[in-house]
Amino acid sequence: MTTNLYPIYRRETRALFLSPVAWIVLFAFYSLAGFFWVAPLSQYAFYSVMMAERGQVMKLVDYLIAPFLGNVTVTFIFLLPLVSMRQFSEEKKSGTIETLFTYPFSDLDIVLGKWLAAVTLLGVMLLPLLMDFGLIADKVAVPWPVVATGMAGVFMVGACYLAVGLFTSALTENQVVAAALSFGALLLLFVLNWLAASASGSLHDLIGQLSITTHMQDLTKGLLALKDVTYFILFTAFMLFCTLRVLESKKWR
Amino acid sequence: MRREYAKAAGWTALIALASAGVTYAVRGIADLWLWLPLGLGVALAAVWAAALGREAFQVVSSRRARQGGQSLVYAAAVLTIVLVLQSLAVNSSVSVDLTKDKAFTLSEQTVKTVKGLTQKVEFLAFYGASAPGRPAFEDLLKRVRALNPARVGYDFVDPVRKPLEAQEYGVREQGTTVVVCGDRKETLTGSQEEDLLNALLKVSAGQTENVYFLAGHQEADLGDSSAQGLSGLKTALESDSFQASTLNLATAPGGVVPEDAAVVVLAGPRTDLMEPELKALTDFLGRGGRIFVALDPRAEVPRLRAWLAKAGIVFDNDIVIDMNPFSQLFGASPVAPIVNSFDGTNPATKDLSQQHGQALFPQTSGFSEGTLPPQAAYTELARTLPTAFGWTGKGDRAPTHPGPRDKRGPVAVMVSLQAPVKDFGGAPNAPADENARLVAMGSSVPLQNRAVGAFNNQDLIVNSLRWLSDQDKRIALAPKPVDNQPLYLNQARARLIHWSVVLLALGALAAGVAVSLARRRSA
Repeated sequence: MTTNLYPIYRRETRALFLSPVAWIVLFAFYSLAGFFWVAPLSQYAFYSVMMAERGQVMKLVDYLIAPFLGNVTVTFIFLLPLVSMRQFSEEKKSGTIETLFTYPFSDLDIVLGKWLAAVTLLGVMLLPLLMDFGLIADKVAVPWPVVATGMAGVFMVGACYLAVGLFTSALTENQVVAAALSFGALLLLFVLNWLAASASGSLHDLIGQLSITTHMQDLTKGLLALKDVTYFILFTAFMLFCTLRVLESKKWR
Repeated sequence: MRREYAKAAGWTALIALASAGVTYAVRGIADLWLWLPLGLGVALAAVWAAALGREAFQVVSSRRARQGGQSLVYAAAVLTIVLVLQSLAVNSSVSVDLTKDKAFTLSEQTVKTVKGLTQKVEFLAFYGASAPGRPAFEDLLKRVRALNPARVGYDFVDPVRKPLEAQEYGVREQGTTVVVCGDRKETLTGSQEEDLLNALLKVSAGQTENVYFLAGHQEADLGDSSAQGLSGLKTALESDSFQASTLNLATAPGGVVPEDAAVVVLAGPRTDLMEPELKALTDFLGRGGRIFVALDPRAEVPRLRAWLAKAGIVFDNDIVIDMNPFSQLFGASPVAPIVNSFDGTNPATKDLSQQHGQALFPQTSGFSEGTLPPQAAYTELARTLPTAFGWTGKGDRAPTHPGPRDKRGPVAVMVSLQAPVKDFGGAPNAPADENARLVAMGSSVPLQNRAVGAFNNQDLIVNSLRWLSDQDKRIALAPKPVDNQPLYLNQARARLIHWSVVLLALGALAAGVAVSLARRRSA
């Protein structure tokens, strides 16, 4: 089915890492994530010792890890559309998409290859964050299972966002429009949680279940729930499916 | 021209139909504002179809339209499958708690209680959209509901946006939850699993404890709705889990306290109790009974005072005075001191201590610890401010400063005693946890209609009766052990962390510059 996925993936990954945009995104991400880590870490170090002296408890997960990972996903809203915006838009504008369609690749190969390349960049973004936890591991008992579920959650959120970005990129040949559409959609998904908070009854439940933040929260606190994992997988799969449909529509439009 | 009109009719039909849909989605009412655009839309669509029927048919039946339609149907089918799969996952509640302290795992007692519910229980959580603690409490409620969705429901109500609903349930502050089961309700201010379980047990158990108010000694009357009566307290007790009634030991069968009595309340007797009555009360304590005594400072009840002193509770022969001007700003007077220091260990006053509650004790005496039975536990439940003192003088004109014989504040105005039943003539081989309990208050005024609603007086009295009637035992959950996690960062490590973050970002920037230069060179 997807026998030609690897060449596409290799081509896209290479193109991505050879573009300055990827490195600017990485620079911005590491700067923001660094700020979101260092500032609360200093506060935690100060207050946790003070609280311990008073016999009170501050939990690393509640006061440092979960808020940090939550902030990391907020940076995704601004940065990941920049990664995904060019993937189809640029090819459409330059006309290389037509050439790509003439190669013996299926639409699925193309979509998955592009998405996986972007996900690889996401992995590169996230992997060094483990170093942050490693640097305090001998000073405090870092709950590694919670860190693992939290990082997996952040990764899945990023993968979802990239799938949304890929879809918007397939809709238009203008990269700025693609990025703006993607940013708007991600922002909407993010604020759904606020809307859920002001609703009540079954509407509250429904909106809450649609919100990415709702599904992210438990993962950052160490609860690996089936509903959260399936949400991210199904959401990503559906967005990739929609991207496929958009590509396919080229054939009959 | 006709073709142009038909096209305009088509677009207008589309707008009218869309606005009808939006109107219904927003208002949810099928009235004129729905039917008007809907009718207009349908009529104009008919005009469009009649005028451009052939053309419309061609558009609809074109290959492009067919493919587009197929694509939409295909997408809708996949979306349906996705939603079905996700709803199955949401309802499955399959999860793995990877936290060390099992923060997401409900205790066995909660699971058992919730699964065993026979009536629908509804939690009305009065939290604003951004109220602190709401996400954690909502998460707890979700997990509780997942155990028995048919019997447990919850809803969040913003007390600022819906003040009437808050008023209806007597909610005065954010973070309050009302648990409703049938016609019973329970209010909880905590948000821990323990608080929730406790409230759940109370509303679902449906059992009531009998509280008997002693009569025959000019005590305040349960049915009296005047300022000196106890009708307000009776209502409060009956809306909790108590049944309040009077007991006259002189006319009671056998002259004994009834078997079904959980607590006997002496609400300010003005004439002394007879020896047989005191013996009946002693026997009651010997059976593990519980007594609440509220005695006014000048009450001439020497036998009762001696009986209490023998148990270890000594009512001082004084009146507590507090000249603190700040207390008077809050409605207190020198002879109605404000009490804001509560024992943080006894379940009767633990909540008030944690919530920094206050109570008003008009015309109260203080207490001293008497000679206690060997295994008795004596606790000062409520104390006045340090500015108060116990005036031992006579007359109607209270002094502004304590005299040499007066007790200095803070003065204990409410105490409790717990002792094994054998100390009250109970069976010597009774189990060690079978205790008699007494709570004594230096004034009966806080029970009366004129003061029961002041500050936290009602909470103080009801909580004391709960403790006396063993309802605190329903709180059986031990708090989950939580690791203390202080982080000691020395300067060297802090510097290393700072630099690692900076270097990582700069490394990415440098790589970006290198890539750009390489591209430019190769171009």
